[in-house]
Amino acid sequence: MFHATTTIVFDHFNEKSDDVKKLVDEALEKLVRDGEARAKLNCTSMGTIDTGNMQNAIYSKGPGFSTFGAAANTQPEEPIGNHEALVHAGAPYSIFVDYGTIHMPGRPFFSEAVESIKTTAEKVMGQILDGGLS
Amino acid sequence: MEFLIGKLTTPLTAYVGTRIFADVQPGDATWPVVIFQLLAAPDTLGAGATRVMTRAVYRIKAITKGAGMQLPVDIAAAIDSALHKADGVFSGFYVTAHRVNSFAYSEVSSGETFRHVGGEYRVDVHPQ
Repeated sequence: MFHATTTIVFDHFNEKSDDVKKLVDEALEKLVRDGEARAKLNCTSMGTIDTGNMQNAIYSKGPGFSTFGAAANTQPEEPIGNHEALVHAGAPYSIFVDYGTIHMPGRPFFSEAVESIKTTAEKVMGQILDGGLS
Repeated sequence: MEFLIGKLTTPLTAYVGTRIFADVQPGDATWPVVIFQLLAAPDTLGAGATRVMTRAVYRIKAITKGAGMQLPVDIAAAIDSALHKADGVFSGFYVTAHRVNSFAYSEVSSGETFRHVGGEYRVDVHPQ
């Protein structure tokens, strides 16, 4: 069974101060919340909604927060570690909608959202770890 | 898009002939095929909203009929050989491509197994 997930991990800063780690965690939360919102918006704009189950099964999770409880999932919540965050498309058929089948083109509601936050993550995390944001 | 088709046509002829399609197989049920699809194409803007470059991401995959994995993997490898680190000049634009993700999944339709194997390629386009 497939579950579309993207996970952001920044675990190479043991020498960084607690203030920087706090900034990273805050940035992770913002990024994956944006990713969840964008994936849900994409469900609407890409015309994927039939029952709404796939859209409602998308959730995000990060340091100290999770929207799993508000999502309509029959699968268990995905685990994460310290300084990690994820956006998850919990409906098992999400991959067929996103990547396409032999009968229909992909409607990349999730991949587009991941691509969007990935670009932002590279910029923001680079600035934080370089000391440009504090 | 023409850049991609130009790079893929010759290396893939032995596998799929000319069956390289945008978005979906058109329905003649001849397999295997190669499908490409645009995922995103954000612009990078300079001063005054000058369009400096476009960074597109295309998903390109082989679809094969049957449970065997060797053929789709071989086709995906041929796609990757043709596109990863590819560059060129096309219609007044510099174009470069590299793979940013790979994937494989299976689909069962009317009792037949179909394999989908491919990658996502970032294609950067900027004026000469």
